[in-house]
Amino acid sequence: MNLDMLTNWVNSITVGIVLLLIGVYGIMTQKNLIKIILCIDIIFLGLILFFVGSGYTEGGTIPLLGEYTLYVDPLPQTLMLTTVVVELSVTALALALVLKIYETSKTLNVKELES
Amino acid sequence: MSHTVILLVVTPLMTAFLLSMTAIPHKVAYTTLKRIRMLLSVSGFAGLCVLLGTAGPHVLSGEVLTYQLGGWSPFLGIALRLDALSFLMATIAVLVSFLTMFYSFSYMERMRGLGKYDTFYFLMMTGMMGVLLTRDFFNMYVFLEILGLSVYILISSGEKKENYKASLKYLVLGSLASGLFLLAVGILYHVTGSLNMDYAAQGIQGIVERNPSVAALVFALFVVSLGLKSGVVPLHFWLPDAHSMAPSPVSALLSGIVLKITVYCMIRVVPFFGPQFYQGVSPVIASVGAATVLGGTLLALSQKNIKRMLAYSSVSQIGIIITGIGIGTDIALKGALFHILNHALMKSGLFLCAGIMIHQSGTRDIPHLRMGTPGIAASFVVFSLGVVGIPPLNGFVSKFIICYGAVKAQYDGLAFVILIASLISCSYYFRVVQTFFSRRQGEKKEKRRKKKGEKKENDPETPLQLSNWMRIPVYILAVLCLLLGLFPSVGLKAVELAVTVGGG
Amino acid sequence: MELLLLLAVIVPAAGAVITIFGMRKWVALFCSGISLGLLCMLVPQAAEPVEITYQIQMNPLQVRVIVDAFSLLFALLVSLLFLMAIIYSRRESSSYYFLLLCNLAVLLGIAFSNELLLFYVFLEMSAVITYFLVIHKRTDESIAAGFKYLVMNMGGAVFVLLGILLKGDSLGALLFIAGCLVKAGSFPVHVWLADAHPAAPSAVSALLSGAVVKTGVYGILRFAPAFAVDVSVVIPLALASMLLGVFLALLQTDVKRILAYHTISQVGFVLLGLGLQSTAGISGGILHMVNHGIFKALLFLCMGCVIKATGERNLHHLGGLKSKMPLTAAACLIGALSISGIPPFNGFVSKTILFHGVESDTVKMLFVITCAGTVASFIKLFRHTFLLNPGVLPKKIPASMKLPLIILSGFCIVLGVFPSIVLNFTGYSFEFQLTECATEILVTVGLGSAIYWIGLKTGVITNPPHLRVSIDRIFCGMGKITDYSSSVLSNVLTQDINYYATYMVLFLVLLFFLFTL
Repeated sequence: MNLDMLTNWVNSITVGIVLLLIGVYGIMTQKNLIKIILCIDIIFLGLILFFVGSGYTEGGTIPLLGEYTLYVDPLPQTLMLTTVVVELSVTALALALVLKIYETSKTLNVKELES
Repeated sequence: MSHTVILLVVTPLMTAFLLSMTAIPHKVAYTTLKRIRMLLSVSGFAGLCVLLGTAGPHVLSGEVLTYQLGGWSPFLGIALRLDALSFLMATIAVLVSFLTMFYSFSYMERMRGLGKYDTFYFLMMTGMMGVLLTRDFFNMYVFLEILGLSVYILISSGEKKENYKASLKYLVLGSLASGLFLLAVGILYHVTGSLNMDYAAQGIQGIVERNPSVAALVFALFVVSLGLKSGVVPLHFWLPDAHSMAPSPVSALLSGIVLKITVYCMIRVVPFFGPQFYQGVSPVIASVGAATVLGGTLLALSQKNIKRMLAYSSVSQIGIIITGIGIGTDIALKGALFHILNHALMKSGLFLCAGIMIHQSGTRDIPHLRMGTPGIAASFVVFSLGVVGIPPLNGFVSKFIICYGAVKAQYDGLAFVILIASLISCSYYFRVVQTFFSRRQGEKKEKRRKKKGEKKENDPETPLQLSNWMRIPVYILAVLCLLLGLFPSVGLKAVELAVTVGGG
Repeated sequence: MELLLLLAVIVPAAGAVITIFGMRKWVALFCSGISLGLLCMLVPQAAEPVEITYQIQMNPLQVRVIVDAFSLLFALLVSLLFLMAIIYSRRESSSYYFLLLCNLAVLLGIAFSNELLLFYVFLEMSAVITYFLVIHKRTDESIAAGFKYLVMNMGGAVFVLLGILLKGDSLGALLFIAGCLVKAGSFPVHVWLADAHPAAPSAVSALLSGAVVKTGVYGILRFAPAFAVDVSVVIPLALASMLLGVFLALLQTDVKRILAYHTISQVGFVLLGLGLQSTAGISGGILHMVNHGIFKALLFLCMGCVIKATGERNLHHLGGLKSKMPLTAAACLIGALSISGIPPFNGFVSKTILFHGVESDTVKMLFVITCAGTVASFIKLFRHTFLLNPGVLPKKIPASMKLPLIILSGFCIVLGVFPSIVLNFTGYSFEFQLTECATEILVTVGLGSAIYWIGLKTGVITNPPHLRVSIDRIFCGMGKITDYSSSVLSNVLTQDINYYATYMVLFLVLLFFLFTL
């Protein structure tokens, strides 16, 4: 019975929130620039899971118009495609900036960079 | 459906695309390439001006122009809307960007990869226009990201170490904020079933009553994410670095417009939850605004670098605008919107002047700034008087309206805070003005430094010939500030319309 | 009539714009002369006050103008003093005449405005323009003094604005009065005067003391009824200014600082008059305002001539100038006698009116002590500058600097003998006979001489002690505290990304809890 209740809770939404929190915690504590950027990615992944999960309707199937009557909401999925692309470009830019910073400062430690 | 609205977003996008093509290495001579880029940029802006001009009379007479993307009905699709508030912000954005673009023609002369700068300049314009016109929350997120990305790249176009660091700091914190924004949008969608602002507004009322903590969470997320991008006090830390390390025209744009775009988002979002909710959260937002005002001014006081000082001053002024939004009455909103207009003009003018002065003095330290041309010094004085809030300039009018609104709404303390902040800002702005006049001292120090063989502060802005491209935008902005101060009714009427049509 | 008024205010402003292009001094002379003339033509209007409301195109500010006795009096004083200052000035550098004419236009605006916000607008503009005039000499001393002037006057203006905004409250009235007092240089907020006057060029000092400082007083006079406040709250401050100003003046050796501290003292007299709120009090106050404008400007211009001729501001390096600069000496003597309240000069009239308007005996005694101190101080000033053994030798000074001295001395005498010229404006008639006041005059002069003699004997005059307690320190201290807190704040708050993210999360949680309330 305990496992049942647990699996009820382990759905996309909660996993998403947990990932989000992990990512935020990471930005708050990590010292290495690359890890901070990874944490941004984790945050977005969590968000994506949250969104996709929030579109889930109980017992729904693939969203094909006319074929099925009860379908999962397709809108969040499309939104998340866009989000993935946006996040990709942000990460790419961030990594390029990190490269440049490393070129000039030879360090990736946030504390050292601040001084 | 009028196509003007969508064209407003598409024009800068197309210009950016064409400009990016010029960035590909060619066999074309550098000067011709430069001319092509200038031509493209100017025609892009000209297109924007024409579009705004044709839409203007309609919007200013109260009409609202809408456009459904792809013809889909608003519930399913993305709607764009040009009403008085968007139009006002769009005009401000286009005006300031246009003038700054002329400035950057000469300022960014020696920056390699100028194609990159111009391309992202227009991409930033696209982002701005998109945010201003959209009625869909997720679309707002996407355009905010476009805006953000272009700005990160523009900041780093100075190609020095501090540019990259500042850009990265802004990127990390900005992405965090965007993530929170997306979370808020997600919860909103989950709860109301639509992403369109008008439709979701109907749904949100029920939520506010039935489940106030959810509404509070969503609202808190919105405020924190938009607040970070606007530079509200506990979240402003990226601002001084980004605004001071960026090249001067980019600083002008950042302080002048980009901050205001997210404030505009706040203006759209905050009344969204209904008048009762708005009244409930008023004190909190107003106090956040007050904290920003005080924090910004106090921090600006101890800055030695002129651009950092201007950046903190921006924080303070944004605080005044947020206070106006927080108070929520019509008068206060009018004052806040007018202050958005005024501050855009004044702060971009200040940054452009600072850029020129840094060029001519070779240093960013305040005690060592030299006056440069008297015209630029006079413009700097005009802009400073405006920011401090001295009649007959425009800053005074908007500050007074906000203070008046505060007192009318029983928030006496806010008026007090704003005016004390004006007093403190007077002291640090006039510290800079002072250095113009202690010429003898400045020159003596320069000679001493040269004798010691000290290397001047390693600065991306090495002395450059002062060209008309750089001077004329500054003069135009100064004249506009004076005119708006002497005859504020022009601005006030526009703002009044914006408040009644757009605001809560 | 409207046209005359408009022209009187706009001509200086237009002149200011023209000076940007050249022919500076002549344009300035011309414009201020025209302004004065137009205002004289408006004098008959004083009998029937007129209120006009203008609507400026595209400006929502209500321009309510009033032309009555008080405004005309103030306006005439201001334009006369500006004309004198312009005749006196010899600076041709870029912004000087421009700023002077702008300032004239703005002060005339203050004189005629009947609307609180309009008054505030002009007050602020005047503060900024005067700042640029004060730092005109561009020395370190001027710049520091100008900065202090600006910050304190801005503070005063902020209080005025707060007062206007909070008008219904009693707090608003107090704030408004406090702001006007800053502008007037009254007791607790007088510190900017002492530094600004010596640092500014002499003509500007004359205008500062004569006209700009009076705007604060004028503000209280004009707008106190609108605030429904009891003006007598200023009386203790006025008394303190009177005494403190004289006391500090006795200890100074810089000629212009002496005059600056005397301004503080004399403005105290004016405020005392306003605080009394009787006809005698108000008329005395207004008359003293006009008189002080005239004789203080005279004194500043005299000292300006002396400084120009000898290059010295220190009292102890001067001396024996009577033979070389007879005209200046005579003018200075007239000024000194006026300020001390000796008949037949104008100071005597206003001080007598004020003296007889006061009821309480302690106040009368303080009044006499202050007058005695004034006498002592001017004995010191006149004696050490013009009598005694020669110090630095003077050079020749141009006639244009001497002309205003003659004109202003003339006014001192005329207003002393025919005070009704001004008193008709205020509706009071001076009916004191000379014999009635003889006792007071003799006591004052005697006491004053005694003070001076004691000062000489104890060496206070020649070697003034350095005061360790001063209000100046308080204000500088406030500035330092602000600076300090600013640097502390900026050191604390500049950290790295981790901290910023933490702040963000904390803020989010905080807001969430606040919003659920």
